[in-house]
Order: sequence, then C-alpha cells, then structure tokens
Amino acid sequence: MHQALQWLDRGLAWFVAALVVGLVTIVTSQLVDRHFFDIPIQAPDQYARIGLVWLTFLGFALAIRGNVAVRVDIIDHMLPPAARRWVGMASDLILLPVLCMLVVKGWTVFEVGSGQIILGTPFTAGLPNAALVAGAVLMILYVGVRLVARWRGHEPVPLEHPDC
Amino acid sequence: MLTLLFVAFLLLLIVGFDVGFSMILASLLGVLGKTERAVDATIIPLTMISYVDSYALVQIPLFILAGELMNRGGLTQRLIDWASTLVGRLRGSLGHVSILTNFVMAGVSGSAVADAVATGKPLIPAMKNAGYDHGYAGAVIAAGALLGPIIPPSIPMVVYAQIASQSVVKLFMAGVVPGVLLAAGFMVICTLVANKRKYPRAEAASLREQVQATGRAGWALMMPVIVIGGIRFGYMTDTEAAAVAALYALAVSLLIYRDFKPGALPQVLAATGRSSALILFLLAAAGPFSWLVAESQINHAIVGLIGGISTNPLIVLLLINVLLLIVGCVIEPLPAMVIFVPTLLPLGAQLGIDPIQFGAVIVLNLMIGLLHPPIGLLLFIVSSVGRVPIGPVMRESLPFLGWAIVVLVLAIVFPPITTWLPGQIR
Repeated sequence: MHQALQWLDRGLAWFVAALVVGLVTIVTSQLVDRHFFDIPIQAPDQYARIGLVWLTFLGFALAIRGNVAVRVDIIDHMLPPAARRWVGMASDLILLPVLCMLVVKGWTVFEVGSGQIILGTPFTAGLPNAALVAGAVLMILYVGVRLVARWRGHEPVPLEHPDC
Repeated sequence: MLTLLFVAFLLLLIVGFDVGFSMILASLLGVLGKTERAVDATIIPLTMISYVDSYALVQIPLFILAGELMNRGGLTQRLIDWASTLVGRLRGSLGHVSILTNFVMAGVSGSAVADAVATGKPLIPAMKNAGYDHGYAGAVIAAGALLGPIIPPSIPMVVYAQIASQSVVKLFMAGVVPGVLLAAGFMVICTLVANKRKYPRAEAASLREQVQATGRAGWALMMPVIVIGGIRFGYMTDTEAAAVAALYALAVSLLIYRDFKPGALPQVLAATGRSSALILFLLAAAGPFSWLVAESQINHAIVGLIGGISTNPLIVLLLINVLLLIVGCVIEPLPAMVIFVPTLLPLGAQLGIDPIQFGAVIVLNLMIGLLHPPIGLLLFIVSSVGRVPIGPVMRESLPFLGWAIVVLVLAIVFPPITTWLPGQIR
C-alpha cells in the first residue's frame, strides 16, 4: 500500500511537471510561429487552456498530498495540539463528501462536454472537464490517507517540494 | 439563503478549512438551500472549470516558474551582490540592498512570497550578523517583497483582469508608478532608521567593482527589460513574455551561471505546478461562489449601502478601500480579491470610476494586507525564513505599512498615478 502510494505520488508529480513543460512549449510556439517560422498547430491557445485546467486540479491534488493549503490559521495558535488534531480530522471528514459531490456532478459535466468539439483540436470539451473528476478522485484518496494518519496520531507536516 | 451562505463561509474560514473548499462548500449549501429558481449542484463543477479555462491565466505558472528558476539558478544572488556594490556605502546598506533587489526581481517574478523567501534567506542572517535589529531585518525584507505583486508582471493583476475582463497589459502598467513610489519611500525609511540607530555601512565599492558586479548580474538585470520591454513594444503578449522569462532564466542558470543542475529541473517544475495550482484552484472555487453571490444580488445590497452614504466616486473609493483594509486583516489577498471584486465591480462602474484605476487600487490595497497584522502573510514568511520572532517584525513593519497606505491614498486621490501610463498604450 505504502509503495503503491509512493508510485502514485511520483507519477502525479511527473505528470504535473510535464504539464508545466507543455504550457511553456505551447506558449513559446506561438511566439516562434509569429516571428520566425510556421508551426502547423491550428489552435495552440486551446491546448494551453486544456493543460491549464488539468494543472489546476491535479496540481491541487499534489498540494493536498504535500499538506500545503491556503487557509486562515488564527485558531491554530489558540488550540492545544490534541484539539488541533480533532479539528483537522473534522475538516477532512467534511471535505470527503464535498469531494464526492464534485466527482458525481463533475462526471455529468464531463458527459455533457464529451459531445462538444473544441474547435481546432481533435478533442471534445470532455477532456478539460475530466480534469476535475480525476483531480477530485485523487484528492479523496489523499484526504483519506491524511485522515487515517491523523487518526493514528500523526499530524501532517507540509512538504517543501514534491517528490520527483 | 444568502445569510446561510456567508455564515457557513465565515465559520469554515475561522476553523481553518481550506479557503477554496470553504467557498465550494458554502456554494453547495447555498445551491441546496436555494428555493427560488432552484438549480442543480452541477453548476458547481461547471463554473469551477469555466473560471480557470482561460488562456490569460496560463502566465501564472509561467511567471512562477521564472521566479523559481531565478532563485535556484543563482540569478537572485547575483542581483543581491550587484545591489550591494551599488548602495553598500550607505548607512544600513543591507536594508537598501533588500529593497533594490526586490525592486528588480519584481520585474520578473510577480509573486511576493517567492521574492520574500529568495531575498530573506541570504539577507536576514546577513543583517542580523551586522548588528541590525532582528525585527527590522525581517520587516525590510517583507516590505521589499511587497513590490513583487505591484510592479509588473503581477499575478494578482492577472487574476483581477480575469475577473473584471480588463486588459492585463494596462493593469501591469498601472502598477509601475505606485511601485516606484513605494520603493522610493521604503528607501527613505531605511535611511532614517539606519541613521537613527547608527547601523554600519559597508566599504564603498570602487567604480571598477561596481562595473564588474553589474557585468556579473547583467544577465539577471536583462530579465525585467526583456519582459516589460517585450510587452510594452508589442513584440510579445503578456503570456508569451512569461514563457520567455522562464526559458531565459533556465538558459542563464544552466549555460552561463551554471549554478543549476539539470537533474533538479523535474522538482522545480513539479513545485511550480503545485504553487500555481494553489492560486488557480482558489480561482476555480471562486466560480460557483461568485455565481451564487451574483444570483443573490448581494452587489445591489452593497451598492445600496455604500451608495446611501455617498455618491461621490472619491468618497466611495475611499470607503471601499477602508472596507478592503479591514477585510485584509482576516482574509489573504487573493481569496479576498476573488470574493469581493465581483461584488464591487458594478459599484465602480456605476459611479464611473476608471476600471484600470479601480483594479490597481484594489490590488494595491489587498497587497498591503500581506504586510499588516494579524495575518500579514509576508510577516510570517520572513519570520519563519529568518528565524525572527513575529512580534518585533510586526512592530518594525509599521513605518513601511504607513507609507504603503499613503501611496494607496495618493493612488485614490490622484487617478493619473495609475491611469497615465496605461493611457500611453494604444
């Protein structure tokens, strides 16, 4: 289980890194196309948008895995460690059904998008819409792992860099 | 329904729930509790995706990547060395070095947090060793880093432009004059504090040493010129400039300075993706929240409330800024922006306030929130990076905070401060 999780973490970090490379490449190709030579891509901006949507949701799953979050932490300084752990567990428990809702409702959005072609690309709008579902599934897994760790008394520590 | 939405949101924020998920959960409760013109919860993922499905936002990960590469590739260190030779002879010169380095870095990175970490790591220990007050060492780094999101390029300006449908380039240019005013004032504060406390001055660098340091930092100094010049003269778009900045930083780090090992690149890219996703997810979460706020017509209530006090655009702008400064005490700048801008925009439009001035003032105001207690993010970052107690940092940051508020008031009262430069762009 631990090994499988490590593989998943690494795979996700590499995928997110590849998305960033993809964005740099696509955007640079537009500059090259305009000033130097023709690049036969019809709608590079559409590809960049798809990449950005995937980066948003998979990158955020990576952030959850690294225990990095944008949150107001005033209460943290007032609570003893045990109470902080319970608040953290309660937060994770609330988060899980919200994420499940995103998967279920996101799936509907994915299905609707699958019938809409993105002009200039061979893809449908289902491709960017699938990012939310994929990201939310990963987030459910990571929040679940964090919840179990908290239950066992291990308070998660933010990771400075993703494991790549 | 609206009360439920905001009570749920505030409660979740206070208990330390992730800000993005607080907005999503509050929106879900709002949708479920909506009895009039009921909608399905599918609106939540739908608006989340549509809020980040934008080409203009692609520059966020690209500018973050440029900043990461600058820090890891030795470009930032060379900027610090260059600034040291230039202003080293001044009393308390390390304070000036902090401001000057951040001023140049602001022309590339666009992120206050990245700048604070990059300059704080080497400069805070150096200032402590030189006998500066520890709190002052942290405060001057925090103040310098504040320039990052004001001087172009600026990630908050990109976010504002996306929400308000305004030109990113014009908003970038609107930040130039306030940024210069802030930097100049910060330098004056550094001088006054250093003279009062008799901080040491370094040996004056000779002209030859200054030229040598400029030569060594030349590649790093070229970055803001390429980015801002490229955008200003229409050679590249703002998004393309971000990609060029990242590629340039990579090339200089790998081929010229050789401080960066290619093996570290995957980690830098993944870290960039993760940092970008924190901002982008916040925007995505603001999608359903903003939609629900618009549906609830809260903006009419706020317009009515502020409009009831005054219809003078100047007074209204001042009132909005007082409101945002209070908001900045409890909510971080980017979340505050995505929550409040959709609500405040119609008010600005109704009173005929220039949307570029409105945007620049709101960004400036919310960025000041990075510097003021109790949740001034920069204060906590420098405290953690420099191992300095937070109390003295907060106390020493007050003069810098005071000047930032003066610049904000100037930008409100004299619109050309933010509208003159954007007006030069055709």
